[in-house]
Amino acid sequence: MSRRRGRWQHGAGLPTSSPLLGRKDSAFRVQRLGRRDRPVTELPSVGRRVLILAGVAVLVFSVLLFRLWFLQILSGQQYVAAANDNRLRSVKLEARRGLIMDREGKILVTNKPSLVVGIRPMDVPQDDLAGVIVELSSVLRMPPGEVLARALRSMEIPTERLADLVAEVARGSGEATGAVLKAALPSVYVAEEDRADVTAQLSETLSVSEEKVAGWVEKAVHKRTGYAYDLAIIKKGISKRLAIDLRERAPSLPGVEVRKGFERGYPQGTLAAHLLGTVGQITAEQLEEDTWRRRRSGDVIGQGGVEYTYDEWLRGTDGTAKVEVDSLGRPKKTVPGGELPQTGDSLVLTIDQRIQKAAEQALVRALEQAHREDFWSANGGAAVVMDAANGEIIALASYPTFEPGVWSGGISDEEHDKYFTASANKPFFDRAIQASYPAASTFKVVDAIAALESGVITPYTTFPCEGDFTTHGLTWKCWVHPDGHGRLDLTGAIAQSCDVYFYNIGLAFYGRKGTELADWSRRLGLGKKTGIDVPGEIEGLVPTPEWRRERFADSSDPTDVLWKPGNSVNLAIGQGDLGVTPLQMAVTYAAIANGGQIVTPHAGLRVVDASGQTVQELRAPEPRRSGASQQSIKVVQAALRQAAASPVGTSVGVFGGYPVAVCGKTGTGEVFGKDDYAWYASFAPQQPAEGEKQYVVVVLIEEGGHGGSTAAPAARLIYDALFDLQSGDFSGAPTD
Amino acid sequence: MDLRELLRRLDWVLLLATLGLLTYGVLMVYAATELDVPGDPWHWAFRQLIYAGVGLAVMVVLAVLDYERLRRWQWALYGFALASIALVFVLGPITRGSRRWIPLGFFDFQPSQLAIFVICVAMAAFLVDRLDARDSWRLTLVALGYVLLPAALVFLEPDLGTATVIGVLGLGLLFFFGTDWKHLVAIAAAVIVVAVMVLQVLPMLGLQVLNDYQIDRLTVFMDKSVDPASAGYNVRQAMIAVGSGGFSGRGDLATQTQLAFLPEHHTDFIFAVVGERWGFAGAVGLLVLYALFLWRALRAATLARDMYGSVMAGGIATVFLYQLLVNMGMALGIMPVTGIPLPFLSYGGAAMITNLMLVGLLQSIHIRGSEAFAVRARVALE
Repeated sequence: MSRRRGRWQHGAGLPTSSPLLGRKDSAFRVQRLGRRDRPVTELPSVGRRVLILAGVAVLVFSVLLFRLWFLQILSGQQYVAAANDNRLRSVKLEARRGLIMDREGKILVTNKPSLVVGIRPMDVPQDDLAGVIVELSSVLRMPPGEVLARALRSMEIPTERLADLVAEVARGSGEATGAVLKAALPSVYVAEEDRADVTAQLSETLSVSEEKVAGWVEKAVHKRTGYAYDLAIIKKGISKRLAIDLRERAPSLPGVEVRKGFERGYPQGTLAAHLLGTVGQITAEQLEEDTWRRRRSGDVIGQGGVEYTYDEWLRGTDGTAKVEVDSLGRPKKTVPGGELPQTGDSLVLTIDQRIQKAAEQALVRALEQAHREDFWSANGGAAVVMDAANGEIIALASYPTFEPGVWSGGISDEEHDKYFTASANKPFFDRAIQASYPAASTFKVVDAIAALESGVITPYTTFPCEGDFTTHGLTWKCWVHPDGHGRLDLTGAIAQSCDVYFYNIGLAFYGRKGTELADWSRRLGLGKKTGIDVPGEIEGLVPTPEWRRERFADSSDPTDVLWKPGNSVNLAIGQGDLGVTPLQMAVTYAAIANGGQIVTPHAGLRVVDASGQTVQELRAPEPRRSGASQQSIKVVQAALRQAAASPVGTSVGVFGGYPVAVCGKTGTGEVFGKDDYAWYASFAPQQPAEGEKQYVVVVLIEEGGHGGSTAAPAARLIYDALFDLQSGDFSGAPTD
Repeated sequence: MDLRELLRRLDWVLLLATLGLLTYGVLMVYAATELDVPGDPWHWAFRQLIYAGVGLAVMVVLAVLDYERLRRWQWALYGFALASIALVFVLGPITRGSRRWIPLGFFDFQPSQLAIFVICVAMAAFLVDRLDARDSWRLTLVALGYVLLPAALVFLEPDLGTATVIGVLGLGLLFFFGTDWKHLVAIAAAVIVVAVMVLQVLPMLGLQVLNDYQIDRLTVFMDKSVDPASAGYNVRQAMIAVGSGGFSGRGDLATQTQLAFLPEHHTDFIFAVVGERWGFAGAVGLLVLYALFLWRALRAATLARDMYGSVMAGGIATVFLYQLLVNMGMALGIMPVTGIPLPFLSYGGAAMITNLMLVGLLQSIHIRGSEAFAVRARVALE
């Protein structure tokens, strides 16, 4: 109080007017207000309530302080970690795959820089996504459903949103709703327990039948691995022109990015496409498989051929980059602490690209020859060249073939048409290991060994051939020589491919009951996988009475389950239910060439690192004994030599006078409703000198007619390449 | 009263606390938003500075003005508050599902914020004019209706946060008016019953008073395991921001803010920015400024010349304390998520100007109180 007064007196030398005025004024007001209001001092309750609120304030501040202390001092470190978790993201740096070379070191598969188009769904305004996808699909010439699928890869998306997107994309592109949905669903994540609901909802919203939708939803991804801020790759390997086009359209394509990457390059074009296989992003089904349990969605893996088998070696080790991202997942900058990717090791194959080329050309030449001989349907074939001693594949060819790079970054409509029309004749189908054919006369070597080993015949047993063979009221012709071969021993029968001789053997086996012929077929490598290191191989079929019982258990004709004499007779000439792959035939002929050893065919030779040092030798299993005696083998070898070289031999027109001692058997397989399938199964030289290699060459031409006129000349072209010979025109011998 | 006396009677501590908070606020808005507008780091902070300038001007006017004059306009002011809020429903554009502003071209006028000031002035007058009926239930009920009418309108915008601020303001005014404890306890009980009904019972009966998102936000702080991608996300990010600040803050490494993990970083969650950048030290410094501010507000209530000023000052203190608790508590994960800004810190012109108007009122109360004190002292002496 005194302090205030003191101040007043001090106050700037206006002792009279102002305070007086103020006082008068204020005194008046206090009086005046007294009527309506009461001074605070007269209300003791105010002080108490102020104290109470002050107490509340102290309490509130204490709580806030305590909480701050708890969060910042006590748990600070934990929250720093959480903040770093937020901002730092590991981005996968895909390792480059290793190279693939032939046995001489010629590069068959390499990596080439490519431009990649991707989309970050997060960066696309929600209402624009459908429009962006439609535009992208027209620019990239990809089906809109496919683009949508890639953009949504393994993302979780609310069902209504998916339905809207599909409907909008379909509307925008003129595509059928069902087609878009079908293409999109396999890459969307749908939790197992939601599938029924999602199906019902999609089917209702998009008015597509529930049955269909259910089937497509089945294929949806089971594991959520994609996120909206990831760059989803739409297409790899786009052209520069397209990249520029995309940049120009950037304003209407938000979230779409073009960046540099690598893709597989094939300096030899289509060479050995089936054997090499392709690479591609892992599929939803593969993600479920045990083989790929270490892979994530979006990983690129070998999708066939040796790329598949040796994926672990080739793929290298993906690196990571630590990237700081904002709350929308957009990368801001790279921070230290990542790991560089390590390029995969290179794979050296047993293939010799020169021979592979020759084999592929030989198939083309053989087909041309078949067309010249009016076998117009001829449009496919396979050739196998293998080291008879150890099963190393020197060449493995299948026709028609394809560009191995076709799958990387989505197949275009034109490519799709090119590869999937009927006239394209299934180019992705590897006829050397995935197709089974009647072995026809090439099977006679199996008959011979089985009959010799079982004691059905001796090498000197003869049968007369009068052009046909009758048993149990049925008659079979000798297809090669309708007038009859006369009396032949085993060597003559093989050399001249006399069917009647082998009908007799078949009948004899029938008489012995049991499954000796089938057993020997299997011992010699037929009816089971050869074990080649290329995926997709089939088993083929060697029929037995037991198989017949199972196969025809449900047949309306009760006699179908019975093994009849005709079955034995047909089997003896490699017809009927017998089915073999060209590769199996190569294994059988290798056994005859190498003295009865069953080799495991393989295409991988070794794995080398970037400096060329061997990391791993790829050893196939040791050859197994087939159990055939050397004596029998020698007899068959000699007979095969006769077939190729003696004046009456079936392929003498091709190999008579050939500088290398080729032993080979023609075959003409009959397939109901088709032209004959031409075979030539062979090996050379007959007796390899010390250190010399012995090769098996098997050629099959689908609907190529006689083995001697198309397949055998093709084989000769391959031998020319193997032995550095030039043996003249493509000419065949019109006999079988 | 001449300028010299005015300056002498001004509450300088309150003024310095206010200026301190404003400075802190502008710096924080700058820190929170320097990367938001590429090439223009001052974009938001500059605007905040302008709002603060305008607010300070209005504050000065109100401080100089005798608040008694406002009392005469109480009904006009109350009517204006109701009308302007109602006008939002007609003229307001829908932003994020609600109508809260009236666009005036140069400025988005937010009536619900201004209503805080207006109702403080009008309702305090309404109550003090009926001092003789203070102990009657009837007055308490009428007063409740008086404040719930604008609060309900704001709630319908919908703006749950500001509606509760208006409600709390009403309670604060009643409290400092000296309403009977029994009445206050009954009101508290009623608030609890209504909250339980709205959040739990009625939804079960199929009657949704609040939107789902509002219920989610109100309950999210009770359940820490909520999906990080939904309602709990903001709170979780705010807690990470505050927690990672540690004792001294992360300074320029404040990634939660800079990389936009922290949502609403310059508005509702600015306290998390304080916590991340300047750490415990910075947050406590801010709390000290607020404590200073509240102390002066409560002191003004005791120094007031008359009942009217006292009740207003108490109401203002209550409103600020409530906003501090709810806003900071939200950033610290102990309070529901409501869009209540942090006074003087959160970016926003309407709240900034309203808050400075309330400060102007406090200054006016202080000046008149101090003057009356001196006058009474002289009168007593004479």
